[in-house]
Amino acid sequence: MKILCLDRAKCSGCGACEVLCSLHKRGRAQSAEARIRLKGAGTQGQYAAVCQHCAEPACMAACLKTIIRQENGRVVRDFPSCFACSACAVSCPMDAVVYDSREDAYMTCDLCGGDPLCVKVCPTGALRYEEPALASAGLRAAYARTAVGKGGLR
Amino acid sequence: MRPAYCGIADLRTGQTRIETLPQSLEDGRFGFGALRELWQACPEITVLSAGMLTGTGAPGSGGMLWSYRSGGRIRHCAGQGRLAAALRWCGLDHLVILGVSGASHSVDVVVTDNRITLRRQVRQRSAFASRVYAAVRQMSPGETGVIAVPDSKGILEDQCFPIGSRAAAQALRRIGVRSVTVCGTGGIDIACPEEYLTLCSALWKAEREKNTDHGEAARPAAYLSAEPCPPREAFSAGADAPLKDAGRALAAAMGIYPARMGPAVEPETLRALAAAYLGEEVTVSQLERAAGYLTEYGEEAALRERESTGI
Repeated sequence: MKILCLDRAKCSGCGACEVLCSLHKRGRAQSAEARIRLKGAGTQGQYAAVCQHCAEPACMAACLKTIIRQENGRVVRDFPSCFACSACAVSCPMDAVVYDSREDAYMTCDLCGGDPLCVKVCPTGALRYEEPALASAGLRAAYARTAVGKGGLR
Repeated sequence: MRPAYCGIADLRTGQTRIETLPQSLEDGRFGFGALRELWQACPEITVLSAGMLTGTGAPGSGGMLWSYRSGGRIRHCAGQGRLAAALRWCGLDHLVILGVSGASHSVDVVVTDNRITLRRQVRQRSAFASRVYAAVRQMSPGETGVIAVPDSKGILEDQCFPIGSRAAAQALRRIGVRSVTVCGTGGIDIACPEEYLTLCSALWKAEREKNTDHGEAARPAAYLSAEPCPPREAFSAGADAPLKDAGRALAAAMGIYPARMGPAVEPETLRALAAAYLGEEVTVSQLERAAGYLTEYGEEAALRERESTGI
């Protein structure tokens, strides 16, 4: 199962992913209700809040109506039954749960059915759609390069 | 066509209000024309205008226009960043700042959803932009709020992006505006979202193929940028020239201003995007009239000023 990964070193904070996501999902440009959102001041410390499809999702445990479940490793939700209690949003460690005012429900990234638009429009290639193991291997390699560069790993 | 929403902050009285201005595509003014009465009524006025497509998701749609009075003339300076997009998500198309704050204090202008607040601060003549930014960030209404601070080199957004020239920054400092913070959670309705999304995706694809150098975290790109970016340390806020030709005016009026890509975005591209956004037929000549209006009005105001002063 693939997930969305962000390379923070490459992210330029342009915001294309946010606006195009809201345009795709909501039919209006509304960054605040996009299912991927850039957080942080400017480009310093920027990070993307997007569902990581956790192995043990906190939102699933928190849901009062038990409408969140896992299917093939992905976290999916039966949003028409959501009564917007916000328990999932509060418990999410990634701050990736978004209130959708049109559906009056909380939503997370559904990976556009396996063909995420945000990855296609990311101008810097910072957003990738890949296997979690591959993504973490890349992060480990990047960290090792940085640590060696600073005189670490001796 | 929906009216233009104009947030007015009066530094003389400390009061704020929101007005609607008539705007139509037919007269090619996009609300800029309706601002004329305000220009004529108040001798000291500074306006931040968002273009029609600003914040709608098309590549480079972070265009904005600073209009200010300098040397007796009305001058326009186009820039690109998140500030104007956030302004539109607040439900406003123009932010008008009237008058000058008192000599002893400066003002932080804070715009949230359909609301403008003025915060008075003790004026410090030697306040560094980075310190001002840090102080304002502490009071920002949200993590995603965009903060613009006039610096000695230009108007800097979030300490990274130059969004206005040195002259525009001086105009803001002269009237006593220390910072402008915008935090919007609303959105912009698009008449034909699927068509608009198709156009945007095709444009992004073409841009990615054409320009592979779009910057990275250490080399920030402008909002929804479609242009390669210089390193942060090489930025010069005064480099982006004020509105020089009709092409730039057109780009700014529509909200697409990739300064380093050339004088203007293809008019046909803008026409297609505007048509999908409005859900009605738009012609290139209508758009060009809008661009012409901005440049003509600048000249007209200068002429009137010369006549009145007799110089």
